[in-house]
Amino acid sequence: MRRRQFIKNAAGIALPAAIGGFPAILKAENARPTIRVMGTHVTLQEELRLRAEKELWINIQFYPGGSAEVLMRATTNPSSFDLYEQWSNSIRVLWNAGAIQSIDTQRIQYWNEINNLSKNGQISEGAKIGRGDAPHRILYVQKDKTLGREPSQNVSFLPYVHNTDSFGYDSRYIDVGEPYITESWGWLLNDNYSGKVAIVNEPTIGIFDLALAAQAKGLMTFNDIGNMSISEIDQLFEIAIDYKKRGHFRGVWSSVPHSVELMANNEVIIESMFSPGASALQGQGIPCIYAAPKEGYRAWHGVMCLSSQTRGEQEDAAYQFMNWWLSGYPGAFIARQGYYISNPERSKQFMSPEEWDYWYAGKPAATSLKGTDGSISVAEGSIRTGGSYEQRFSNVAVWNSVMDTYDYTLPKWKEFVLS
Amino acid sequence: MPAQRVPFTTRIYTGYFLMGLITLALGIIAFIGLTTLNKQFDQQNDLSSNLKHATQLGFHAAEMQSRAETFLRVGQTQAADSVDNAYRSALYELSTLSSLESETAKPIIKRVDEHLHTFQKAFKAAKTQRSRRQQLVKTTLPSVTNSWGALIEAYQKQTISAGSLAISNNIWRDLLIIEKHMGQYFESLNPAELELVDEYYQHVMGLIEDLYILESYPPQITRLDIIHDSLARGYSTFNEGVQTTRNYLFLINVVMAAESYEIKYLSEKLTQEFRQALSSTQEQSSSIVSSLSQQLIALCILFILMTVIIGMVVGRSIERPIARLREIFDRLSNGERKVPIPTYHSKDEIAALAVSAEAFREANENTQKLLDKYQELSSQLDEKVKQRTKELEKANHRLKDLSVKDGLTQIYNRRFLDASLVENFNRARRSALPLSVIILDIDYFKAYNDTYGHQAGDTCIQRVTQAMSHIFHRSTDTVARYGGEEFVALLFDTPAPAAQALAEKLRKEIESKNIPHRASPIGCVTVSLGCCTWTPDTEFMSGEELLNQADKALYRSKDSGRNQLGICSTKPPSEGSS
Repeated sequence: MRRRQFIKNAAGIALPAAIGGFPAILKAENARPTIRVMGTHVTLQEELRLRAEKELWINIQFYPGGSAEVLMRATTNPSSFDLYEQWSNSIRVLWNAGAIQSIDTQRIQYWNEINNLSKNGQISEGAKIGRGDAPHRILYVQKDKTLGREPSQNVSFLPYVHNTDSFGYDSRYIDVGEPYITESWGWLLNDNYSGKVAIVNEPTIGIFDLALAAQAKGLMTFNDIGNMSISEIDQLFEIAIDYKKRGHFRGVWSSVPHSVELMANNEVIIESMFSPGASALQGQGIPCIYAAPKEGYRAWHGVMCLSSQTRGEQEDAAYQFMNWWLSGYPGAFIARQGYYISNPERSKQFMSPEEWDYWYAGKPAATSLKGTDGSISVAEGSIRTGGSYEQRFSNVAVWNSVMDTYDYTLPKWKEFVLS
Repeated sequence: MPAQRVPFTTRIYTGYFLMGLITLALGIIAFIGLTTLNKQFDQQNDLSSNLKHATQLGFHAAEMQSRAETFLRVGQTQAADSVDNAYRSALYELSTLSSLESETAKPIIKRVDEHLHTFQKAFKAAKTQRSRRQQLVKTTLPSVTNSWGALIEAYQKQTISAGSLAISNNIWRDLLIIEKHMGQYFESLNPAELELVDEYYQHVMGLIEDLYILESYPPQITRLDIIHDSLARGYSTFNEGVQTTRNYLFLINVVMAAESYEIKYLSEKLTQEFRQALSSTQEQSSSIVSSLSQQLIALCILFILMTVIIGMVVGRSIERPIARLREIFDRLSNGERKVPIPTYHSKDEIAALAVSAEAFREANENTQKLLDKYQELSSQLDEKVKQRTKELEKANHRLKDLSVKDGLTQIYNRRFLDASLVENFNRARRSALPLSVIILDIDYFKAYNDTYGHQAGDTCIQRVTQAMSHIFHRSTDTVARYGGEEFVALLFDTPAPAAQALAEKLRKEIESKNIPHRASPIGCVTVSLGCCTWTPDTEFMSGEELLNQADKALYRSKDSGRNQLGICSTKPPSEGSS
């Protein structure tokens, strides 16, 4: 199947200056340059902002929002931000919309430290390469200004935070499974959990959860799960809508807090999930297990993008902020929330050996470990589900992707949501 | 007698008071029950109105989504207004529900509120995206594509090379195809059109590159630049149109759909909550009603019981002393004197009645005492009268005796004899029974008197009469002094032989008394007797005649020597008399 070609001259698109209803961006109050960072709560954390401001001597404004919201804002109004932090599946949209400009890898101080997961899709030799928009497939700006796997000096995003996603389940109601062996995406379609299942409300993500589940259940197969055909989409939604109509799904969730709320309220016992959601539930005392499905994870890659409208000192400050992200501290910081950084070795020095062993090496916690808020988030002796960083990223089934059938998917998705 | 401590009126008022208390309790319980019920009904009303609001909320959510879809598909401003109206209605329902105190409903309402706002925000953004898209598709893009024909024409006018002309013809054809596919994409939203647009765009760009190579004339190169730029502008405008389309489609199909679904879901959950609460409240109400009615029935029974008991107790406590007092008055009016009257220490009517009874009793007692005295006096008088009457009777009797009896002998006198003779004679005739008359005379009594004096004579007479009384002792016998020393005995129902025998017996008895009589030849007092008997055969027709005959017989005995019995002859004298 032919891939759609994207526009060559992204910067050539003029966009309206402001979209009604979005917050006005305030000017800096002092001489320091101000950058506006738009993104999600995953990376837009106040501790990081304050630390970066202090270390970089710049002003940073965070505009966190839901995935869909920030993507729409960014695509329609690139002048409303300088840096955009989201997921790799938004890259095609942003790039296509001309909302972002390429990043010069020569201005990225630790570019060479970035591991091969982002650069060629394999965290180690022989590792399975996930289907879909693996970061290496959309990283490099090709000669024809499209995004592709051929390495070049210009990249569409700075690879930084990434993780694998799966589903979480409440072990009070569902027997604890064995990672990579019994835990399966098929559980999402287990009739025993009927009415207590939720899916993330994002067609570019949730569709894979449904596809992996349907495939694991043996209900259908995909030629390429990362690039489904129209008929595969039809079949998948036929299955999903059938389940939905039978009351199998409680619904869809639109934000991490929403996913937490659903399980905390016992409205669901199993749902596709992001790891902070699972951690939050565990923090509330709800025994939510973040599964390591035998079919492999649905992985996501954080992308730090530069607005197509950002120039001059804002651009410089944006590069400063990007470099700061790979400077070690932020990587260690987000490691404590379960996320991985593209150059982990530099962050290692900001972590205790126990922390490294637990978060990256997949070893049992030698001591109890503190989270970013200073409270103990990992009890001594506990082991991270899914094993080490390498093991996890060697088991990626598919990456969050915007497939060619995206437009076709939307009404289907709506039908699924509303049925 | 137990003393009554509680006054009569106090008892009645206590009874009233107790009944009042029970009535009050009845009232209070009924009031509390009804108030609770009322609250329950209020709650039920609230719940059913909440139920209505929650149902409406779900309805509005569905309405918002469907109208929003209509608007984004066909662009009717009316549809957009409907979305806003449905949103405002949903907000109204929500604000009504927000005042709820329900702990289960509150978090749900908060969640609905959040989803509602997110929906509205998304719809606003979708509208913006759509209007931008409309501008791009309806105005900006046509203004670019419409210029392409003229631009190609202008280029071709100056073209002399056949190769350039052929290429420019191809460009012109491809541009028409691009324009067609662009239009078709916005018509059908078929992503295949996008690929065709991309494909032809790349192709046209390649052709333009080819023309640049062939072209060396600067004005023509400028014209090619204009064509290139216009094509690039058209393409980017198209892409922006595609993006804005995708944006609003994402909003409608993903964001708004999920939000409206959540609102609908949560509204249904609320509806369920309210329905459940409603049914539990209804259950509560019915249990309150049943327990209230039970309580009221129990209280009513208690009320009736208490009324009866209090009525009986109070009534009895009143009736008893009154009955007692009535009995006392009865007894008093019957004149009983030893009636114990209870003393009541209370100062009520009963005590007053008791005091009256006591006064009655005292008055009664005084009257009785007077009566007794009077009766005593009266009986004394009676006794005297009786005594006097007796004395009088005695005197009368004596008087009567004196009139018929002889004073000396105490036998009947001559007068009585006369009357008795007539009486006896008549009786004898009536009964045809014989009547005998014996007449007696003391022999030589004149001489006796003379010898012994009158006093001795009297004694002699007494002794003779004693003997007579002794012999003629029957109740029908009458003994009388006929005169001086003559005595008569009337013997009813005595035949002659019996009379004669008796007379003889008497003569002998007197003789046997041997009362000295010196003047008599016999030497003792003797008597001569004459006896005559009347029988129905006899001739004489009166007592007097009978007596005369007896007297004659006496005389004959006297004549015959005295101390003998002379018998009269009732037959012709020739046959009788000795």
